[in-house]
Amino acid sequence: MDAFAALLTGFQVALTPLNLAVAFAGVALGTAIGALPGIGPINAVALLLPLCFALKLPPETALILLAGLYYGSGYGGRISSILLNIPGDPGLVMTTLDGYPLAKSGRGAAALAISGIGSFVGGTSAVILMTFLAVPLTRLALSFGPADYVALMVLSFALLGTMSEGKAVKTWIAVALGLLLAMVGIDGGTGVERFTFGSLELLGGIDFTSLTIGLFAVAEILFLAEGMISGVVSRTGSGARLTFREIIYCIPAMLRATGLGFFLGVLPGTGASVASAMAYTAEKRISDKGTFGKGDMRGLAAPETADNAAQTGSMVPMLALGIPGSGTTAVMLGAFMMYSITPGPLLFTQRPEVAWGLIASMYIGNLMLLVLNLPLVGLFARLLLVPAWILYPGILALSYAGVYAVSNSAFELIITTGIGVLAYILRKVGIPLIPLMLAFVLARLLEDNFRRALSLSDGGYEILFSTPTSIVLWLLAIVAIGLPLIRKPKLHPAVIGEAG
Amino acid sequence: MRTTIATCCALLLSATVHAQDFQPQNPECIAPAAPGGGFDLTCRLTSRMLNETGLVGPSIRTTNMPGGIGAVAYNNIQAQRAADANVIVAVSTGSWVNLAQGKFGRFSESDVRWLGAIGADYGVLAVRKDSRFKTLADVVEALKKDPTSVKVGAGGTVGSQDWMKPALVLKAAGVDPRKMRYLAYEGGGEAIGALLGGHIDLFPGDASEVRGQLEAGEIRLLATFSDKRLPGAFAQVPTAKEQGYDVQWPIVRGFYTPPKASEASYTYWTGVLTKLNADPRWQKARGEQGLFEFNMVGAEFDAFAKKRTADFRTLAAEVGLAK
Amino acid sequence: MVDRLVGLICALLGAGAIWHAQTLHVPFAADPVGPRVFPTITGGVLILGGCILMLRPGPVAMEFGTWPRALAVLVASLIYPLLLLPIGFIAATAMLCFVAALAFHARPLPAAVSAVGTAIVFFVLLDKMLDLPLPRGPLGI
Repeated sequence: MDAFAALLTGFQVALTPLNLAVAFAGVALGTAIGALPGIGPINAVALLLPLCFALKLPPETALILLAGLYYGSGYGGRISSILLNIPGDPGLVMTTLDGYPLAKSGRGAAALAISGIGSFVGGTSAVILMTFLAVPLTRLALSFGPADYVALMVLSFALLGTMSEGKAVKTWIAVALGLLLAMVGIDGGTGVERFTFGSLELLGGIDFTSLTIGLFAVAEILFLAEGMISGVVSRTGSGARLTFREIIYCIPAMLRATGLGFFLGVLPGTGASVASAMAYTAEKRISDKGTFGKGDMRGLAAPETADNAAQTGSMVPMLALGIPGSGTTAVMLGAFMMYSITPGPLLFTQRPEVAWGLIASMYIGNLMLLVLNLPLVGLFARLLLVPAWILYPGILALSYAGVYAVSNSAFELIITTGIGVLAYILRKVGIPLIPLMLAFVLARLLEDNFRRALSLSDGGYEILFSTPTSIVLWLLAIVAIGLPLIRKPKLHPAVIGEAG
Repeated sequence: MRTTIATCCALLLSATVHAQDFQPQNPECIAPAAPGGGFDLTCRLTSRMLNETGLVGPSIRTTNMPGGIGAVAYNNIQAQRAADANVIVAVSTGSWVNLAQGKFGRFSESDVRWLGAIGADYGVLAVRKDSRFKTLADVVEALKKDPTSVKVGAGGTVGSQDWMKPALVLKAAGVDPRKMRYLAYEGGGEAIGALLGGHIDLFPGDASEVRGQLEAGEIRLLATFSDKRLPGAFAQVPTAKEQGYDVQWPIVRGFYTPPKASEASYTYWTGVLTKLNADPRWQKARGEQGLFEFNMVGAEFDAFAKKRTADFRTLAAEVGLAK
Repeated sequence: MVDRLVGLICALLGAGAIWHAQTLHVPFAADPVGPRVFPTITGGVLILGGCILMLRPGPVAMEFGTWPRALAVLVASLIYPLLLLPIGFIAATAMLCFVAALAFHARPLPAAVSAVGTAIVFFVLLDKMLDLPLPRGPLGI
């Protein structure tokens, strides 16, 4: 059966009234749940899984609901990232960089709209790629060995240099601090405890969500309380809608981000947070003329598109080979198993209605996300009209409640506050937080793969340059570091395209 | 006839209820991991089935308490809920492996009450479909010749149960497990990816996580670490024991209760688990989860848990992993 | 001056990281790199960065606003986890929100009303609707 015909049968499944209603409910619920800081897609999906059984939904309907939730919760978190500079989820940190300046200049609704459009473009293009190229892409992703990952991480760190503002040495201190925080916990290679100081809670390392909330939500609220910054948005220009020209202006950035995000999503181990970070830094390297970080639409569109493309991409290895690409897809894999569907290469032949119904519902889910949220952006933007003394205490309490509800640990709350205090001090002394967060994201991938690579070669460093992919990535990294030094700010887009 | 049986059952149930004099209130199942993992599924599936079959009346809630393969939950129970009779905590062989290595803090395996198992998964040894290894003997021979010539990769750290499985194979082959070339991945999924991508030669995984790949012919299983052959898709795979290496690795999934929970509650929970294991609806759900039968509840399970932990302690000491 | 102090702290932190890495007891060499290399390199970067900052400090505009307000929010945040189990989610969260609302210039009565309201809404939302169990206080609320 060729992909088109199969997809049509998929649409027949997905377009039944029940499944349409379920997809809608999933997207709407997901948006609402995702808007809660700390509670991301993984919890949203895990929470509703039992409900699917309670309602005795057929498997394809349940999976359609879960996929809708997954998309919806990805979008919901953007509301507080853009409007309040408070990302509730690690994948959304880059969203704040240009989204919040836009909101401050009174264009919160427009920023939410471009974010929605970016998500739609990223999600839909990724589903198209998935429809026709799922198996070859997964094979390509699996051929990515430890050495290739190392080179990819080096490129990511090289791009991180674009984020440095002010003194370069402070950026490198931030990176080192991020790396140290990431090393807390049991070391995978040897089972040795590092930087845990005997604490059992730290054995599993510092939770990514706690880190994000501490660095950005807690510290931001401390600054706001102190009156050092103000959350007041400009009234001038409010209501300036997103223009068609602006959308066109962002299209190239979105397309680049789609390719990069989708591939990083398909790669096991790298997910939406790595994808959005790389998409932003790469886009900044390519297009920035001093406007990034000050409310450039492209700086918002790139990470948003990459984030959604990566979310879709991470479903590819699960559907094609039954390998979970991220935490959330692991939950969905569990859902498959509960319905006694064995995910894997045989899924498309054994249960085509499930596989293709799910893929068709992703098209519908993405469209619904846009249709549901575009009319609401104005309403969301009114969140800023809530008085500060209700809004910020509420956000703080909700952040802590989210962290607690997911971890059931008071210790985790103390960690979160502790990271908030650290972030407060670092901001005061001018050490940037974004490089710290990015280093944290990339650290384990870099160290684990570096050590795997040298295990394979028995200590020989030549393995790091042993594959064509790794050599290309190393060269790109050299370009990314070297280019600004020779004062030639524009890098041809095609070069980055290869990286994806 | 049917009515008689039903009446009998009802009488029996009410009788046991009277005898135990314990009924849980707001019962809770703690999954000591993030949503989506084995512990989480154990809790959610068991809670659902206990409620659906009517064995437990009030709805059981699942709480996630991630950290250290159960270490955080273990300590939380000791410190804050030592007498809470309404809570059961999921446990698996992986927890015992860490408990044995002192990674659960100052508490030992005698500090909780082991309730019972609801099923087991089994370790398997997988290679890619085009691998040079055809049987377990091929692997052992290669390991004997040069332990570093076989790249082993799995989703756990050195010292975790995923590392223990191949370590036992090396030990059975008379090779020092410390010489193994082991690559630690983040979770079994990534390791399967590395196997299919040809970056590692050998994947010591669990039966449930490789079933899809096995059915599709992407991988070949060299051995299962069970005492008898596993049913279904695994029927063609010989056990390690059959091939002359007595390595067994059941990944038992079960529960424990806090140490000071009342005797009546212990009787209650072991009672419902025994009935659950006998229920055909549960047996079906368990099979769909990729779990195999492992009926062991109460005192027998308590002894088993302590014995296993002691064994792992010896094993860890042998390879120099103990603290 | 600030930069010199930050540099000193970073250098000490880096030295601490290197020292910690060297004290790690590795049972056996499972991989050729081992767990010490990355913390050591990272510690080295911190020492180097800290020294550069100490030797060539730049001007840092450390401005403080009404910092007691931030401090009040911080103290409430630190007490919050300690109160959560003993007095329950609703009471602890209301306390946190009340202090934070005062810090954000609310008058006491509206602050108290909004704090209690916020706590109840979140409890219903997370515990009742999303089925994420939150601690209940002595009165079962």
